[in-house]
Amino acid sequence: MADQLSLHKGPAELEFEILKFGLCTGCGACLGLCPYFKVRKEKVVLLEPCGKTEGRCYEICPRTRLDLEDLNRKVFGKPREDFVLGTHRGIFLAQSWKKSVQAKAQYGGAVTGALTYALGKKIIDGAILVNYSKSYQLLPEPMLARTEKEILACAGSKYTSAPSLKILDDSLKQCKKLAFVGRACQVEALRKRMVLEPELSERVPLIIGLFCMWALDYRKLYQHLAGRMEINSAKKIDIPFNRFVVYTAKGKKELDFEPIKELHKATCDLCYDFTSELADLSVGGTEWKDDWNTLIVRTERGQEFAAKAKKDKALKLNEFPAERERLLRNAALGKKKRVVDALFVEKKAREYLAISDREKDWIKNANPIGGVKK
Amino acid sequence: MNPVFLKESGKTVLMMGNEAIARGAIEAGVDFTASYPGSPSSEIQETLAQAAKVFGHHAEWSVNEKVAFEACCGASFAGMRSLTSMKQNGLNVVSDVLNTVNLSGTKGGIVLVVADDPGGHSSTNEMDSRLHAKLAELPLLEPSTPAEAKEMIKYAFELSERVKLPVLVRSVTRVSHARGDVKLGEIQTRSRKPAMGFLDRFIGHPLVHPILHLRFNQAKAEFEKSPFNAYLGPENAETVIVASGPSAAYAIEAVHNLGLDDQAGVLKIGTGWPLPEQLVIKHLARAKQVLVFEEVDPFLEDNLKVVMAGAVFQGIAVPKIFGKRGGQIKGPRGAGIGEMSPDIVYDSLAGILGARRPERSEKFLAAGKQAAEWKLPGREWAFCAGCPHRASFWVIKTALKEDDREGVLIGDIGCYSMGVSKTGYNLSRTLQCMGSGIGFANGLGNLAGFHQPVIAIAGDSTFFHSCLPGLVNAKYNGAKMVFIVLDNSGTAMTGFQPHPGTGKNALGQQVEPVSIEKVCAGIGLTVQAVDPFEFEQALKILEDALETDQLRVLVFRHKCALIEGRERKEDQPRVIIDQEICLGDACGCNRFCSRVFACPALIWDNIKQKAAIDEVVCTRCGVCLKICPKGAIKLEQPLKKKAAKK
Amino acid sequence: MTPDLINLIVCGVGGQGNILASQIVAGAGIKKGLRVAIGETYGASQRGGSVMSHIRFSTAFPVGPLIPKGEADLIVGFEPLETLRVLLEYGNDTTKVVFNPRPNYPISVLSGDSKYPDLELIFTQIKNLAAVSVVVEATELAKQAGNHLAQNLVMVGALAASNWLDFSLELFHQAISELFSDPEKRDLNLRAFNAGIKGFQQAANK
Repeated sequence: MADQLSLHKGPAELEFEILKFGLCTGCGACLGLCPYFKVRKEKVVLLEPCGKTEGRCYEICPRTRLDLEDLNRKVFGKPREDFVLGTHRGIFLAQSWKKSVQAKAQYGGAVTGALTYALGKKIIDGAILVNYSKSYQLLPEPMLARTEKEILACAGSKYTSAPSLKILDDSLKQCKKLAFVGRACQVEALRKRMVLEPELSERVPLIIGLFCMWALDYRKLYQHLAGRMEINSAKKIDIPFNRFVVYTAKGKKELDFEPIKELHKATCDLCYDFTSELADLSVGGTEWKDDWNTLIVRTERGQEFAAKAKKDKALKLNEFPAERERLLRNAALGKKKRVVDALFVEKKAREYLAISDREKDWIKNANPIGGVKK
Repeated sequence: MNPVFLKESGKTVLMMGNEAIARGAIEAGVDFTASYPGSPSSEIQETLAQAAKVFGHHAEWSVNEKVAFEACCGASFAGMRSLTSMKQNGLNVVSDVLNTVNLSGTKGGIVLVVADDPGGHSSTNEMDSRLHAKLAELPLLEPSTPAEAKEMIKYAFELSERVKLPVLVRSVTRVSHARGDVKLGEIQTRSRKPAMGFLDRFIGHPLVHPILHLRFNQAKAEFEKSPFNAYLGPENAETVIVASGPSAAYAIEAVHNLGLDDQAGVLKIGTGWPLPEQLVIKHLARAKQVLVFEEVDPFLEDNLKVVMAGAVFQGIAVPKIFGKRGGQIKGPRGAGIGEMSPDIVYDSLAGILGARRPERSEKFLAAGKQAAEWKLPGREWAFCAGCPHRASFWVIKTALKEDDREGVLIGDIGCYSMGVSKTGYNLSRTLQCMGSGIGFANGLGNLAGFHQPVIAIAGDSTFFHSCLPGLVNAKYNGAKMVFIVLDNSGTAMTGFQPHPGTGKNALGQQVEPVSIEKVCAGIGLTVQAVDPFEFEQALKILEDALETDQLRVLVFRHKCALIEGRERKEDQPRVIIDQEICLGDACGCNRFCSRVFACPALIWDNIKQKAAIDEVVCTRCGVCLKICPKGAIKLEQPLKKKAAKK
Repeated sequence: MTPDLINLIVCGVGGQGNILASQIVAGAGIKKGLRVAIGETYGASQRGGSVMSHIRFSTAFPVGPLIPKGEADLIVGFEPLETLRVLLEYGNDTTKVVFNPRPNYPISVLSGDSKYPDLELIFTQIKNLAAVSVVVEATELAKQAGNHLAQNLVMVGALAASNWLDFSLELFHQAISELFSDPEKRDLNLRAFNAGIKGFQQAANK
């Protein structure tokens, strides 16, 4: 195993460079690998270094060396061309055909609709998702959903960093084919792991990446809310169009979003990947129509799946308006520009993100209304 | 039958020092005994508790040493003979009442046996208890063998009744835990009737201090003629060795083996305090040089020097006195540190008198060098296989890490004291005395600006011994901490003596147990009990408690593995390791079970490079099944389900 | 060393039944009319520490409970590393040794912080140093006798069979019988003791 590793570092460095530095994204990739990593309330810690000088934990962490150019070639078989939205085969407005799904899910229910369809068609027999914890208010916890009912139970966005990759290895023991739904950092970790274990790609035939500007820090958020509301009755959080709403047993409570934004994880400021560029399919909101999703089709297998889902009337796919695409690019570019600026001043950022000089310069010089590379 | 209980006077039997002490009390017709266990003293009260059924005296395990001694004082006030025994730390707990009852005096013979632990084989200190006798102005005897210990106890009762004071008998590990031949004596029939007459008043006050001095001097006068002091050797020896306790035997043997019988004499002192001044002057006045051997502090040495300084006024020349103060007599770790040993005596005689033992052979010297190269691994103490404390410390370790606020664990005294070492994952930050943990936590838990969570631990026996005031204080003053009682159903460290929570008394009779939960609830505390073997559950409860930032009490309850081992059925399934599944030292494990969790039964198979179970050590508790990341640790056969109750 | 003094060390690891073994051997000595002093290091007895009993038989004056370094006449070892450790410290050119070759690993070895020396090297070194050394597979013999924990009684049996102490087997039998009132336990211990006698004889004849 170790001879495949390219970074030649281990848990001690992971703890020192990432965990202690507040750079952990909480993706959960290291947690399922070995018993030395632990998580509670979305905080990942190292019980103690395992004594190995190099390990998979360091290799697959999304905040250790991330060579996007190399990963792009491995995932898509070609170099990066679209520096803003990443390699893709199409962008759509998407919606689940089922009203029941739409009602439960976020926006158009594209993710939930895709998963229930994949399960029904036996493309997968389980999906790694996130559901609210039964023990702790507003804490999302990883869950292996194996029935439509379980998938529906997990519907709806969660805004903190559930470590869902924690259950990957356990889930692989229980299922033959898995779907994984997660944030960009999680998709990156999963792809990094697939470099070490190529056979994993067959076992996880559907990777759905979620648009993600940042994830909130659960522990900070909880403290913030506990001081401002009756937290014990809180059931669910939603952030529709820049408003922060907590659903409680007694109804809705809206809080000032600006201070809450500040509670996002510091590591998210280093994230270069708003649209989950290494997924099979990427899904987000539209910031426009609240009953539709944005769907980016990226890989060949993603494209095949989307086409089938459309044909079998699981997903409605409509053309994505050009003016909306410009706004989407704008959002993605804004995030990238901040990171690229950091690349020139912060050693940490340089150690982590590897993109070509061409891409770096392009992002740095791109004007706010982004566009496809000439 | 236990030879300690035999009525055959004159018979010689093998006895442990502590048994001999108990036998001495029985021969003296002791009426009342009360103690709290502590190595190396515990077997005294254990023996007296067994003997109670035969001889009818009262025997109890008290909640702590102070209560035990006070109970004995009560018996003495009513004219009965009483004895309490404890380790050196226990005497500190007794110290308060000792330094007032010395003034008030006592009536029935009362003996306080304190067994010191030089070298700290099983203690957090190696305090020299003899200084307490000096502080409280009480007579003190120092036995050197089990046989002498028995005789001294009998004498101590008589002396106590003559001088109306408690008498201290100071044993040490090499008397209490030594075994030797002891000749049985007559057993005095118990016939006293307890009563407190009109004049039986015991009032401690500085006004009666002169009476204490009178009584003290009376004891001193007796000691001048005591048979427990003896001189062995030529008259007018130029070299006199003064020794007390087992050091006396080492000195006699060394003088003999070095062929110094004609040149050096040994003055054995059994009446450690107050010193028989005239006897000391008589033997030392003629000597040119004096060597003093004792454990641990230079107590005898200092007192000798004071006596000889006084002798100067009688025109007597003071000999050179070699000892710990001058550093001429010292162990490998320095003077006044650690046990005395025959080797230290030999080395000192070589250094001072030039008398040497023959060197060891070339073969052994070479082998010693070879072994140094091999670096023979030492044997650090560890929790036993199957010990619930390992599970508890595992849960605490995980909780403090996951909590991620640099929480601290404050330790206490018991088997779990090993929490300071590797077996307890080096978690405990403190190690002092019984009940100190919750006391320290009272400070940390109320410290403005201190944001690290505080966990204090104590065992079930320690809880009753001295945690209650600290717990009440924490409640009253609002100290934030999680206090965990590690309840393993007995006083495990000292040999499973019962305590108020166990529902059994010293005689093994059923009594109503005092519930830890109810005591805490009575104080008004939130308390929750959990089995530490249920890792996930215990972890959640502890983490939730930590996150409240309030005072919470948890009880981690699981029987001591040694007690459980005795109750284990033969058909309990064996724990095995599926070496096909075991990851060994590969990425994803690297010997997590044997190296990190570190139960002594989890060993390493050097040939297959996989984990293995040492069946001789394994208690089949099965807790390691929950540790293995691959599920390679299994029970050999599934537990047989009990037939459903009809 | 005085000829009227025999120094015996029983050594092993906490939990191996060291104290019971020393009680039996000393009990047999008392029955022979000897003076006995035993010094034991425990407190750590149940907790994996090194455990050592110094047993001293004398005919003249009583001696202290500790044997001076280099003055052990006999060593009964329950564990090879402990046997070597004690032999190095307390042995001399005339010391006789009987020991159980089954290792018990210290936690520092299990955790990889230190190394347990190669067993063959330990055996060779014991053989090299001791005037006589006999290996008795006590744990195996105890298992056959009914309980692997009775290896201490197997080793006592081996010591009895060696006749190094010149105590009759009868004295040992009496000492064992006096310690165990429960007939089941007494029988198990006597079986283990007898297995030790055979074990020693077989090993010595090799």
